[in-house]
Amino acid sequence: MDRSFLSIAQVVKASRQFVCIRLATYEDKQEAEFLKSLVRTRSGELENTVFALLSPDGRTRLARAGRGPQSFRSASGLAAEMNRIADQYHRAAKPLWSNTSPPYMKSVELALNVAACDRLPAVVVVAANSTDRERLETRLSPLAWSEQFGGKFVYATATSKSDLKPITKSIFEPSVLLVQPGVFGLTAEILHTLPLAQIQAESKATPIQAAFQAVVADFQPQFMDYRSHIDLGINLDIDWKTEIPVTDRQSIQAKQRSRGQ
Amino acid sequence: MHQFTIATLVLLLGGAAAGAAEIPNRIAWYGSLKAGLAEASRSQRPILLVSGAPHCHGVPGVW
Repeated sequence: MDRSFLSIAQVVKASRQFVCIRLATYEDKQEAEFLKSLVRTRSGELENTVFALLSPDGRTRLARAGRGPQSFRSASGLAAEMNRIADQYHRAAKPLWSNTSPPYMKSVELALNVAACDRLPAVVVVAANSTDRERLETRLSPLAWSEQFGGKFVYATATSKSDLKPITKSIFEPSVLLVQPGVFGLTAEILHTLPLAQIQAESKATPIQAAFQAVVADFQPQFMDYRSHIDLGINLDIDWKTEIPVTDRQSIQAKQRSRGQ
Repeated sequence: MHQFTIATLVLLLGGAAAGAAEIPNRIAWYGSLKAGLAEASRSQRPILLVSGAPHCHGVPGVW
């Protein structure tokens, strides 16, 4: 995932005029088919990364789609193009951040993995039914999409006890958990637990907002340099199982070489 | 455990934590295509779409 463009302040600012979608390649069949339709690759197969600027209906490419934003040459070039495109849609566009749900990933496992990649904390909404989940989201969603906290957490829902297996000392009760992923995102530790009863009883000075603020202000991500991360993962025999087969030939060959296969 | 060493364990348990710092502003991503397309359709905003595999050499936790 590109860090040289997408983390730059100009691009982050320009992104506020867009709906930003980031997918995990090979983790959903339908999403993979959509991604494959956007970029023509030499192999004809879906490769690890995809980058595209699209019309609101998702059907028209507004700039050349590819494996990354490098065709814009610089982050400022990308930001300028994004601002130009946003101007075209400005009159018709409606305000963002109106969603009733936080930007959930497909599963707790995937969210923890992505949070580890991003070196960010994760938020897990624990609810066995939609009624409890919606009660929790009433307080959570405005924070999730706020300028203050938007993009600073990775979200998932846990609907069964087994979903919480990676999270140490977790209890399956209606609550919002703020968690710190481990280096590989295979495990996590709880930073804050906010039970439903506490969230519902909140007054204007909200404990959930205070917890978000505390985590954002004082987060210590667990990570190591890229080479050490890969070497340690291989030595520990860690092997992430994707939802659908990886089809990026270079990636497949590199994995085979690094694991002596 | 292959070439797993004490030094590696130290790195894993103690050496991997970065210093505490305020998380900088980030892009606020939708995590699923369905939810993102629905919001783009509703808001009539253009879409910034990226995808990446959250694993390298089969090891998770790194893009």
